Amino acid sequence: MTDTQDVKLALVVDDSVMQCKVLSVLLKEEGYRVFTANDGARAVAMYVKYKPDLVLMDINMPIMNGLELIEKVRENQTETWVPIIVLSALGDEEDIIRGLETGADDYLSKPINLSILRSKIKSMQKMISLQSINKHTKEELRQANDDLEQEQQLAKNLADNILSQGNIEHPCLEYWLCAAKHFSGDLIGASQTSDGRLHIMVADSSGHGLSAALPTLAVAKIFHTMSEKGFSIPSIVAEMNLATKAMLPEDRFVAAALFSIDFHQKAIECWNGGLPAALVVDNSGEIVHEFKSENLAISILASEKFNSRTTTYNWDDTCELIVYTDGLIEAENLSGEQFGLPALLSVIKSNSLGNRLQVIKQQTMNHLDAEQGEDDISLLAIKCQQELES
Amino acid sequence: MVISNESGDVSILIDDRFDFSQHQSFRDAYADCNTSGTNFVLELAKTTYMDSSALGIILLLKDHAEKISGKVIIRKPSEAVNKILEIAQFHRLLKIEL
Repeated sequence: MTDTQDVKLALVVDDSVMQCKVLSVLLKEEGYRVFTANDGARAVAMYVKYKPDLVLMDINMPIMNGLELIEKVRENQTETWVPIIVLSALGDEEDIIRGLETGADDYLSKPINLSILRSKIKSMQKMISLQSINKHTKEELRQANDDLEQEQQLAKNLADNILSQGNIEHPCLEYWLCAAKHFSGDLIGASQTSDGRLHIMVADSSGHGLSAALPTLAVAKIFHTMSEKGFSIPSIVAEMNLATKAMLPEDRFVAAALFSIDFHQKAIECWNGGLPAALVVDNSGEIVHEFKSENLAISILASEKFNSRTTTYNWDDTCELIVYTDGLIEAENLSGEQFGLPALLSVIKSNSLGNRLQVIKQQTMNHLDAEQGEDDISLLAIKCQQELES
Repeated sequence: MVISNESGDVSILIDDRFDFSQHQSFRDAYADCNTSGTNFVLELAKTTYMDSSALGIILLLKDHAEKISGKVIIRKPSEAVNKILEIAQFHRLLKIEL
């Protein structure tokens, strides 16, 4: 059966045909289309079939009594609340309480005062309309949220496509990137140059979410394109600064560290603008060099003031380059304690080359204890050794 | 955040956390200070946490100060904040009084 939405349906259940008629007249005056049943079992069948907006019912009935009927109605109820008003000759305090506890919304003792019943029905209608406004608002919110999610997903797919242009796999390279939101303001890039060097970039765009991810996309594109063509790190950062400065508002910037690793010359060249010091660690866990931040982040200075000078470290024995963003050491647990630099240094010192990244990752996750970090976390480790099979 | 105006310099005192939540109130605070040559002194002694949005806020303040031929001075940053300023290399942009 299909009903137009503005017709309200009521179900009247009473073994007295007379009583059903009286109540039907009253309900019709209140704008209801009325169905009647003379026993509980029939009432359940009609309830399931017609899905009424209101139920008026007796307690003492053949086949299925009223209390059982209330339970069945509640079991079959959808999200929408359907008021049940019990009209019963059983007017003791205990009967009333039992009826209400079973799930009735109101209880009137027979003989029924029709004026009181009418005003009870009106007040139930008021509550129903409030509920439907509430439901409608919730539905609109859910819809808006779904739309937003969908757009974010689409944007994320686009972003991932752009980022996947760079192949981040390299036998010496391990990394961990943990985004606080859908979009990461952190970015790790790796690119093999035509003359056999490995270019690495770790970037951390200010802010969070989508607005932070956009500048990193621009930076990633420049990094990959120019690296593949064999441009030097100074040329690449200068171009990044020029391009993003023209694009970003005054208060936005991209902190980044770029590296060029020459496995034959055993040299690491670095430009660090605003990232925590990258560490070069030897086999025994000693820090043998730090690439400290020596520059303002990308997109703060005009090109003529921008400094693209790099520093270089030459290694003798096998060592490991560890790069991370501040999200790692600032990762806060529930009590607001940060993971901290001392914890990081201690893990580095007490673990052997090649295992450190996994241990740091594990300890950071333990520290966060399923909390989502407020900031993106990036961590990268590169094994620097001369004999490279590639 | 407390703002005071003494002998032409605007002093801005930041509480425990300096982050994106202060963005609007901070902008409102300095927007009306248009007297030529006004210096903005940012007191960060009590601040223990500062995120990248806060650095962005300082960049905006610096931009505003330069438009009216003024300066931004960061005064007495706490140890934690000083580390962040050091990594960001902000001493290359403005004066930091330790």
